[in-house]
Amino acid sequence: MIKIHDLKKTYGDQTALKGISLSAEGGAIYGLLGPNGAGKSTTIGCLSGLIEPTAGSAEIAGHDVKTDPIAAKSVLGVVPQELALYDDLSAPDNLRYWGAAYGLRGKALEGRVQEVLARIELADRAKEPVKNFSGGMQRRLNFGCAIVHRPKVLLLDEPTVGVDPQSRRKLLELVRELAAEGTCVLYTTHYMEEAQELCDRLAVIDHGSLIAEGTLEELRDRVGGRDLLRLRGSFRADEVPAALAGFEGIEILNSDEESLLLSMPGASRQLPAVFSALGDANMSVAETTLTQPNLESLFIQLTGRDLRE
Amino acid sequence: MSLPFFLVSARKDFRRRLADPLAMMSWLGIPVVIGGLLSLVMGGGGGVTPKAKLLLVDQDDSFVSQALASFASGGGENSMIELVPLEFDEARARIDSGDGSGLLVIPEGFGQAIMEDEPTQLHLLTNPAHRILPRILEEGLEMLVEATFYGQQLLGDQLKLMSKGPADGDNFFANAVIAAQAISINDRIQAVESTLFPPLIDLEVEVVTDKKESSGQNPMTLLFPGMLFMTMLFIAQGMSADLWEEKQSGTLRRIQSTPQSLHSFFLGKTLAATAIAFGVTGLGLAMGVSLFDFPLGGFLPALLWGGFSGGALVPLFLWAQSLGSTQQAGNMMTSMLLFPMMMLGGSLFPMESMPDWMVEVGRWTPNGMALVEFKVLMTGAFDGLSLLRALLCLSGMSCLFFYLSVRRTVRHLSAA
Ligand SMILES: Nc1ncnc2c1ncn2[C@@H]1O[C@H](COP(=O)(O)OP(=O)(O)OP(=O)(O)O)[C@@H](O)[C@H]1O
Ligand SMILES: [Mg+2]
Repeated sequence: MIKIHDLKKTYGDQTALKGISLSAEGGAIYGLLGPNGAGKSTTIGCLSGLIEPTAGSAEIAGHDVKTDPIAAKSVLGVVPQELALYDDLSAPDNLRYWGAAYGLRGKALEGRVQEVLARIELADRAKEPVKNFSGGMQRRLNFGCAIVHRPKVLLLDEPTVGVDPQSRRKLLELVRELAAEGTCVLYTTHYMEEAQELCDRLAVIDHGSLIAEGTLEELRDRVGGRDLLRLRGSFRADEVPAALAGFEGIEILNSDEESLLLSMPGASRQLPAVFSALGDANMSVAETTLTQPNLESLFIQLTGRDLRE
Repeated sequence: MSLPFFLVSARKDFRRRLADPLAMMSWLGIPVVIGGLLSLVMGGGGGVTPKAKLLLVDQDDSFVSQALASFASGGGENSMIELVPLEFDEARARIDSGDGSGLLVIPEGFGQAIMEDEPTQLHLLTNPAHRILPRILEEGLEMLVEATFYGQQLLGDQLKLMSKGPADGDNFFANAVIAAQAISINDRIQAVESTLFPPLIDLEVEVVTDKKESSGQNPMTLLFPGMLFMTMLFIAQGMSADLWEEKQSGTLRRIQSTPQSLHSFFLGKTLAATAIAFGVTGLGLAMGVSLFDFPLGGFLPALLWGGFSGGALVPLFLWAQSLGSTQQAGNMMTSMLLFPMMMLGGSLFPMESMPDWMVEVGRWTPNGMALVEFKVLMTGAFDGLSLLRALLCLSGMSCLFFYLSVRRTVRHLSAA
């Protein structure tokens, strides 16, 4: 239901998207994972018609967003990263307005407004202006406004940032429900755990490029049995490769004077040997962290950087 | 039977205005206060031009003080303010003896201080015997002082260059210099928004003596149209400022991700303001008919025209807001429209008391044109040709600025 082909976006000499292709189907949650500035919001913006792509194409339920924007937008629901609500109006008034923007009127609109209101658990606060709501409640309403018209495709841009655990659980549950009803969900996040927990398929993007794509299992397999070994101490970067040359399958992802990032199979067994090899080369280790394969280590393997950096 | 989205949008904006009654009150309140003051000034006599005599002591005698003085007098023999330049001792003696509504002292070094961006002060002595006129002077000067300060803050460097005159030997500024100034003026406006408050110039007001009072009856027929259109201008400006609220709350971007066009969205705002304009006009006219003997026959035509022309002003202000790249810049743009339109278009002082040249200009401002027709309709009269002309002009202007404001906003959003 979502098809993106070689999507590019540049701002002056800044490239936000370097040519991204992906496709997502109905009834599934597709995760778009990446650190700050990776290009997640830009991708969502191009899909929802807020940003005009520099090159490439995108389709929503068979409608090209460039040549047939109205049809594409009609079946689309967007939950923006920042709240987009009228805080001097009530929750039902907000739902009504955004529902009407998608063409609903009269009884159909009213029925949906009440349904959504109950779903996001704000029915008991229906009379108050939204500015009285807590942050989590506003987030829920922000979500609700995007689903009044039963979109076929739902785009969510980091909907759980700054949300309390309770509202967060509620939101994730709602997303799952919608997917189960057949909605195609594109979910961006920079929370690993959320992506692992929620998404059926995932794309990892960094600096505007797609660096890995597949189901959770496929991505886990890509990391293989390799562990991540993070060492702190004092090192000489140029001598590290020689010192560690004897280890089978080792990969030096990142190294500088104070830290060393290695990827290797069965790291826990080889730890003492690594220490002594480094010691022999007159380098010392002060702190060790060992991480077993997961999405986070995949990201680090692919980029040499932490997702949160 | 299904409601078009621009009406849904208009209803939404109307509701939001109702949720903020204080802002609505201020749109009404200011014109009513000013109108009230003016009606006191004008006393019983119909059509008597009130005049404030301002004694001016210019101890500075600089480019800036001269500019300030000529601004204050508003130009022309028929101006509301008559300016009398004097030496200090004589001026002081005259104001003490009750001659003159006020005495303004521009201290030595004032122009220099403005140029150098240093704090400075203007001294205004007012004569309470004249009761209202001094207050007009005071308000007017207060506005002028702020304008001078903001002008300096924004354009100080440019003013400095201008006040030095063209480069030696030239009679004119070279085009390149003027172009460069225009660009830097633009840059300045964006750069200094945060440093504008509070003004460094202080207007010190001193009351000289306290004598008698004057009284009068209500020449509302003359004043009501001006008050009404001042309200219309405030409504249009207030509604246009809503654009920034929508931008900040993210709703403007959200509407772009829906199948609706920004045209319906902007039309909704314009119609919501039109509804308010109808309400205010109706209220005002009803009071006029019941309290001040406005002819009943003029009620309906004047109501229709008032509501229409009030709404027609909105796109102009939406456009002015869309010119600014930030909220402050946008608001400044609308203020730069609002005040001249108010002055020229007969909304601050009635056209009857304005100098002829000003009336000539003012009747071509959108609000001035609307006001001229409104006055005719209000008395129950009807001038079809002139009304049609005004209708076409206002509609044309409205459509043009409507189109421009949507276009600018779309561009602005896709660039951000
Ligand atoms: N209007 C703009 N002008 C210039 N550069 C921009 C603009 N909008 C985004 N960018 C750049 O494009 C890149 C991608 O930004 P984007 O907002 O898509 O990131 P993101 O993945 O959503 O990040 P976050 O997790 O912080 O929301 C960033 O480097 C950003 O600086
Ligand atoms: Mg983002």
